[in-house]
Order: sequence, then C-alpha cells, then structure tokens
Amino acid sequence: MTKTSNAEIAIHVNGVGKYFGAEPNLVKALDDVSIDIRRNEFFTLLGPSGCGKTTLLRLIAGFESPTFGQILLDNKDITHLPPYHRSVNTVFQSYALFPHLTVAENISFGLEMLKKPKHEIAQTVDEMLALVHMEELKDRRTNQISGGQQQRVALARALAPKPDVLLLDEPLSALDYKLRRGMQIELKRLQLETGITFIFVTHDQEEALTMSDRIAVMSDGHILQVGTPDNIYYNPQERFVADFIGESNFITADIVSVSKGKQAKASLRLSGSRQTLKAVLPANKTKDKSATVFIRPEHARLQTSSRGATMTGTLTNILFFGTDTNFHLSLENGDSFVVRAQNEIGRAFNPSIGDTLGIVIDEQAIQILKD
Amino acid sequence: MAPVSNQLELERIKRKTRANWLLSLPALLLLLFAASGPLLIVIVYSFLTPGNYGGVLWELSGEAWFKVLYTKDIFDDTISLSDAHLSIFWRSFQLSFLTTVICLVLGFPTAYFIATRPPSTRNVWLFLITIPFWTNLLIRTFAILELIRNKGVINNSLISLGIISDPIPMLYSDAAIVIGMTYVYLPLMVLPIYAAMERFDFRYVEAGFDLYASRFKVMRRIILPIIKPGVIAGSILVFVPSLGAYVTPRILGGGKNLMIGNLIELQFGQGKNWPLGAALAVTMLLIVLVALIFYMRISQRSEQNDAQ
Repeated sequence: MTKTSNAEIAIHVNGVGKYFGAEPNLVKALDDVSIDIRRNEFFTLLGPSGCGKTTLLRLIAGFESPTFGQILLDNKDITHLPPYHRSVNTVFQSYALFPHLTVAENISFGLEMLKKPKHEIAQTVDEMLALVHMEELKDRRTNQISGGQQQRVALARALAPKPDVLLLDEPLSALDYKLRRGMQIELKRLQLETGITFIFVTHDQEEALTMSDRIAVMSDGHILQVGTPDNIYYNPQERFVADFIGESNFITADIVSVSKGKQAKASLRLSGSRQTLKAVLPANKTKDKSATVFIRPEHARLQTSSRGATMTGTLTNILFFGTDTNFHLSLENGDSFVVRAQNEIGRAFNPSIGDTLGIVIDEQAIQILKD
Repeated sequence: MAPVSNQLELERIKRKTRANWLLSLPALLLLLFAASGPLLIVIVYSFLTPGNYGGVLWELSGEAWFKVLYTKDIFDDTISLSDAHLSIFWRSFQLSFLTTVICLVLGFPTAYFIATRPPSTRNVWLFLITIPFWTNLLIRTFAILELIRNKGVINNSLISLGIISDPIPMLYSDAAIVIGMTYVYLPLMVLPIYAAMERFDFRYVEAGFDLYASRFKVMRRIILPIIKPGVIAGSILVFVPSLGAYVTPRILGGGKNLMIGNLIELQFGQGKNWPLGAALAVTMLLIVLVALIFYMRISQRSEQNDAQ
C-alpha cells in the first residue's frame, strides 16, 4: 500500500473509542479505531448492525464526543467541536427533512445558517435542484413527495453548503431494490461531480462493493480490514470479512509442509481430498498444524469425473438464480461446499442430486485465513 | 368494478355513516342542550327588559345592548361612552394576554423538559403537573392569597430575613390576579405543548445542528415552527378562560379590580339587570371570537411567510 501524505487526508481518526454506560453495563461501541480517509474518496464503513459504524459516523459529524482519541479534519483537531462548526454534512437514514419547509427551503437552510448572500443562496439552490433533478417539485412540502424524492432532497440539502466531507448513514435502506440500484449510480455520479469526500455507512455488501473507492469492514467496534472493493473481496484477511462479503466456502485443512522464502507457501491436504495443494501462508500461521481455507463458490468448477479434480463431493441441492446456479455438495468428510456456475444456453453439464462430482479449484483461488 | 359490488360498497358506507351518527348522538345531544341551549337563552335575554327583582320581563328592548357601551347621564340624559365597562373590558383583555404570555414563557421550558425525559419518567412528570387539579380552585386561590397577603408567607419571611422592613403590598392588585391566573392555567399551557413536543422528532434538531444552525437558531427556525399547533392550542386554552375568569379576580383582586366575569356576575346579582348581564356575556363571547380569528390569521400569515 502506498503511503499517503497528510495533505491528501480529509479525515484522520486516531485511536478513537466510544463507550456508553458504565460498568458493569459498559458498551464499547468503538474501541481504539484508527483510520485515514483520503480527500475526494468514496469511503464506505461496512459491517452488520451494532458493529459501531454509525457511532463512528456520528463522532465525525459531531453528534457525539469520543471517550478517547482524536479526530482531525484537514489536519485540524475537530474532536470536541460542535456539529455546527464543522464543515461536515450528513444525509440521515431517516432523511430528517424539515416538515415545515418546502423542498427548496430545506436545501437553502444550511446556506442561510452560514449567512451566505441572498443571490448566492438562490443560485446554489437552483444548482442543487438541477443536480438531483428536483426542479419541478421545489415548492412542494417534504411530506408531499415520494421516498426516493425525499432521499434526493436530503442529498441536495447536505451538499448545498459544499462541505469538506459528506456523511451518509445508510441512506438507501428505506428504498426498494430498483430505486436503490438507481441511487447507487446517482450517488457515485454526485461524488465524482462534486469532488467531495463521501463517507458512506451501510450493512449492504453489494452497495459497498459497487460504489466505494475503499471499504473498511467493521465488526464489534473494531476495523478488521481496509481496502479497495476487489482487495476486500479477493483477499479477505479474516474469516469474518470473507464471510460477510459475498459467499464463501470454509474448509479446515492440514498443513503438510511449509516452504521457506519471502512468501511462505504451504502444502495443504484439504479434508476429503487425495490431492495436496499449495497456498500463500500468512505470516502468523507458519507454526500452525491446521488452517482455515477459504474458497469463493465461483472459483470452483464441477466435472463429472473425479480425474484431475481437487476433491470430490456428492450433489445435495441445486439453486437456480437466473444468471447463475449454485450447486451444493457434501464433501467426503461431511463438510458442505458450494460451487457457483454461470448459466449458459444449452449447457451440456446437467448433474442430478445424488451424483458424485469432481471439484476443480485453481491454486490461486485457495487462500489461508489469518485467524 | 361490477355495479353490484359498487352498490354493496355504497350500502356499506351508508350503514357505517349511520352507525357513526348513532354513536356520537349522546355527545351531540349534550352539546345541543348544554351549550347551544343556554347560549340561545342568553342571547334572547339580552334583548329583553330587566325585571324589578331580577329575572326578565318579556318585552323586547335594546336597552341592555346600549348600556354595554354607553351610559345615559341620570340628570341631563347626555349619552357618553361607558368608561367603566370599557376599562373593565380592556383590563380583562390585558390581564388575560399577560397571563397567556407568562404561561407560555414558563410552560414552554417545562414542556420541553418533560418531553426530553426518558419515556418511563415522562408520565411521572405529567402526573406532577396535574396534581394542582386535585384541589378545588377556590382553595388553591385562597392558598395564593395566604402566600401574597401583607402578613402572608412571602412578606413574613422576607421581613424576618431582614430583606425588607415593611410588607410589599401584592394582594388586591392586577399583579395578584395575573399571578393567580398564571398558577391556575399553567397546566393548560404545558399539556398541549408537551403533546406537540412529544411527537417532535429530535432528529430534526441534529439535522439543524448539522446544517450549521446554533442552539438558538434550531429553537427559532425548527422546534418552534414545528410545535406551533401546540403553542396555539395552549394559548387559546389559557387566554379564553382567563378572559372569563371569575373566582381569581374576585378573591385576589379584592372586588375593586374587576374583570368581565365579575361585571357579569354583578348584573345578575346586586345589579338585578339580567339583560345587561346577558349582553355583556355575549360581548365577551364576541371578544373571544374576534381574538381567536385574529390569532389564526396571524399564525397563518407567518406560516405563509415561512413558506416563501
């Protein structure tokens, strides 16, 4: 990973923790989290509910104060600055549009509070209305427009003051699937057009993968891994990350031998396989006897014969998904294994449940997890 | 849709409407007899001639209405505006307005406080607010009298503490009336504001802070406009009964600081002029009506201004 200079960093979170309550009911919502978010970046905090991602967002927004640690915005300490003194705006999960104001008034609110000149406010509001395609509805009350439209107004309202950083707290979760897909593209477009740093909070891995420049996967108040979407998808460091993002097969394997060298490679014997395979071994794993091996379902192939196969399994279920099909197998040792194959017209390979099939896995697709 | 099911639907709606009317009938009858009936009698009486020993004679007369605003000199029959009545109307309006404003100033923070408590403790606070209602109004008013009279609790303790040497005269003044009415009507201000505040989504406050609004701006531009219906309801609930207050000005005003309520009572009692009392009562009703319309207009206009 390249080292980024301070000038490129928009938000610097330094050893931040947030505890709620007191012993014995102390809740560590965030525990010693450090992260650098670069300027003009679409950064996503991804994790299940209760992992601390929203708490981190609220600390950056200034709605909460951290129990310890420091938050810098453009190298200025904002840890204890109230939200109205931070050049950071939020798109709330509930949108929180002011019900007594019209669409245009909602958008101009922040600008008015910043005491911008009247003509500038009017101009920016028009720009924002155009940006989110809401010109026609600018005089409507916010309860007279649909959920998707409210979403766009909330975006325009938060973007209008041109903040250094825009925080988005699961803004798409209230929308239906079609609208959500449309808004994902829209959000990415807005981020590119405005050049503002976006920090996006979601529990939806698909959303995170499609929109983000970088993703931080969070669990239990900690950041587990930070990386680009493909880095996170192809090289998860921990079982939690692999499990949370995409579908995964986990197999326990025995380490037969370890090669010496810069990148230690291990020879493994997968359970239920006669064949040994090689995989890159993480540094902390060199002394272990067994390891958790991770394989994406789409990285394995099925064939009718066991010749040349990595291992064999019995087909237990076939699930059709439209673009592809999931084949569920039971390995010789009883572990389950999923293989995903893209559907083609006129495919010759049509196994039936109960068949014994060969599973072929490329060496690069086999990874040993850290934990 | 098939015409048959349409017909059935219409029939169903009709039946439902009829049931709704039946259900509300007792309340409607009560309103008709207990509110409209007496009101009608009051209006009719205001156009009749006073009887010698109270009551009315069934002779049509505009005398009472004339006397609401004008007096005829006993000696030379010159007609002049009735200063006594006008000053009582004006005082009633002033004191009620003042009471409403003070109740608003005291009640708003109270309601805000209660609404921002955790839900489990809110009911306790509401319960405390309603405690004064458990005691009779007359007794509560005498308790206030006991507090503020020259040898009352406040003056005595101030004197014994050496802060003042002579008692501060508070009783039998407009101030005493306002203190009494504020005490009596404060819960009527707190409750509707609390009801509005409880429904208020405090995420709007966060959104306001996020959009660079200070605490003051959040209060003025977000909280107040959204809970305005509660403020209006509370103001009406305080202003209207204040205007017609009888017990409080009678006891704490000492009979010399009259309000409309006392003036009306006087006509039905010592004055033995029922038509004038009735005309004054209707006048008060009209003042309330005009004040309400005026208030609605103002709040509507400010809403339109907000929307621009």
